[in-house]
Amino acid sequence: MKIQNKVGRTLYAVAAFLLVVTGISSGFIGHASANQVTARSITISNSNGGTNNVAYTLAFTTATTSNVGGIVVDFCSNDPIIGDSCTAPAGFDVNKSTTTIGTQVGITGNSIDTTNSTANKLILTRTASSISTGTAVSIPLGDGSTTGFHNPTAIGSYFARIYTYATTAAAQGHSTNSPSGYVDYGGIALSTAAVINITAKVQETLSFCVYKTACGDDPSFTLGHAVGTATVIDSTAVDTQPANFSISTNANGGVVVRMKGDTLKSGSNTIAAAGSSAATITAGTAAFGARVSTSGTNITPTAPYNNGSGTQYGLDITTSNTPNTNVTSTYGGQIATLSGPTTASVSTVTFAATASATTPAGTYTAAEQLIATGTF
Amino acid sequence: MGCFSRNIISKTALYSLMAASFVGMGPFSLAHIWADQIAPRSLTLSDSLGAQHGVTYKVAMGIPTTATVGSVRVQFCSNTSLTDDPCVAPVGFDDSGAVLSTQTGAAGFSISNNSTANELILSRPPIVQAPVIATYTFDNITNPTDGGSYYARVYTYASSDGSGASTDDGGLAFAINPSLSVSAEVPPYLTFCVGESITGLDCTSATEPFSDLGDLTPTTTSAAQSQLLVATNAGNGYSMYVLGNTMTSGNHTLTAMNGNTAQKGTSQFGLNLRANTVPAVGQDTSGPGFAAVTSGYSQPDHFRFLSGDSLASSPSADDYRKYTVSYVIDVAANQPGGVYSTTLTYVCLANF
Repeated sequence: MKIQNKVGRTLYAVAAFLLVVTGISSGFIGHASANQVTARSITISNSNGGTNNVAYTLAFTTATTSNVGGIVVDFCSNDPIIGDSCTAPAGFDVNKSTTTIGTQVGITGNSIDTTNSTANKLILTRTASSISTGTAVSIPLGDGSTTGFHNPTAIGSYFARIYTYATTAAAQGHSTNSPSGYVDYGGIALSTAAVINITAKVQETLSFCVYKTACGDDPSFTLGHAVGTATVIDSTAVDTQPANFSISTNANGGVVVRMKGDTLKSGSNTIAAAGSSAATITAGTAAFGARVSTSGTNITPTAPYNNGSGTQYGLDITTSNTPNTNVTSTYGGQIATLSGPTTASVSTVTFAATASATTPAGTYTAAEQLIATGTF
Repeated sequence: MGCFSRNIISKTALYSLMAASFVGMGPFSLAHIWADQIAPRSLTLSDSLGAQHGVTYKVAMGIPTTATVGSVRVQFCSNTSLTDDPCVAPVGFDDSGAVLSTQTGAAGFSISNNSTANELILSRPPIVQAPVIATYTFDNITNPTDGGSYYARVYTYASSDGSGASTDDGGLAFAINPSLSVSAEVPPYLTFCVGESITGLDCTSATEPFSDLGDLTPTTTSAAQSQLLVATNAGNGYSMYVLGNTMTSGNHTLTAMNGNTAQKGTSQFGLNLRANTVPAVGQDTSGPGFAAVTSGYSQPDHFRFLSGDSLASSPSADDYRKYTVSYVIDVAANQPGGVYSTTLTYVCLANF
């Protein structure tokens, strides 16, 4: 019995010692039983070094069923290993006072502890509640434009160490270089990178071609019909000939197409211009005029040159209307406008002439320039 | 504390200058980086023909920024409108003789001596310029030689000589093209036909020009008519003549009239180009032309005939004119019998 008592006392003493050791172990080396969070990541909205207000979204899956009263993330430039000393990344700042938290998933209700957080230590606290193992967690930090973290200045890797704590107080007491008492943990590597700056210059363009059948040819022609072996105009017919112009431009303000020239002349003799109002040219009544007979994309002919499919022509050599359509004026008369950027808009200008019975004989000529002005 | 602050500021400024110098942009390049684009901007040419001299160029440019403007630079390039790229002068282009004829909006400029053959620098004392659409018209510029697309660049500067960083800038494009030559040949013509009758003003309707006056008697004035149609674009008009003899039958003739009236029982032959009442024959001239009947043949009821006489003429080109020639014959009681006839030839000479 005595012996039994001694043995019993000894057993009690051993048991008491073991309980004390166990108790010390449980309280002091808490991480010895902590688990590593899985599927852990930090997604950043901007990888450019030194950029401010970058959104960081913290994500992981819990590994332990436990109360969670806080989450701590240390950002280090040296490594993600738990327990190693942590060197703060130069220039990095969680902007604890301004960073906002978006919609939280898994472990919700967190807010930034602005008292205990530092530039590279983010402490999130919440009212402790039980979180099951395997819970997918997502916590967006910053909106990426007006709030968020300040990236490390240098280009390269940096690291994060994640800890979950059962109580808020434990999280607030987190020691970066000697962490303890946490429930789960995990390391993450991040990186800033050089930004690919792409520059593309688009210059102003205005390609304007006046031609007969294909760009580059001579747009000139002889008006008339065959009489014997000659090509003439006379009082028996109205003779017509087309010329084309094409425009390609990126001018936002569009293009004004002007025609500068005059009516048909032979020395001091002239064939009357069709006039400042579109009018039908009648065989035998001497006249020379033009009309935009086919309008390309985005082209709007200007009166009196706008009787597209009709038989009326204009040639203003006298007036100063608005817009100015007088082809003899300094910059010529407006015959059409292009509304904006366009590729290969092809239009046709048809010229017409007839002579009267008394139109003096001669070779009548006119040099008509089409001038395009883009507004950029 | 004050000294400390000044040191900080000095160092900051120094670092800024060093940084700017390091990237080769100069201490004022920041202004260039933030330059606004001049808009709207356009370049209007008075002549788009290659190598044309004396061309007027009108530059319109919307100055977007309130800033000091002492100069405006307009640069002409063949390669690109991009203001940061080198500029290749267009072949043949020359603005060295340019004259600034008008300026609106931001004014007070004159062409600087620093201008080159493809670059115009407008200079004035620097003043603060509010946003405005400015226009500058330059006369006496020579176009690039070849057709195609060309470019211009416009810049504003705070300095008066176009030095330093530009405040605002922008590019332009313009095109040089061949002119479109229209030619039309109006041939010289003289339309002239004769017939016993002509319908309207159509020579193809002219009938055979033969008149049979039937039997001649002392108690009747015989009459007949034929018609002629004339038109020409001869600048100096035309003259129409009659050639031939009075009516004859062998050695017997009828006296050619000399402006007198018909007289029954008096042997005579004559003609005129009017509507007559004694006898009732003939018509006045018709048609859109203005040619006039020659005196001597233009008085109704008075007749004449002299070979080579001009019947009608026009001093200038004349539209269609239809003449009716009336013939009258009187015979005396003792006029020898026979078949009296004549062949008259009408000649129309156009004077081109």
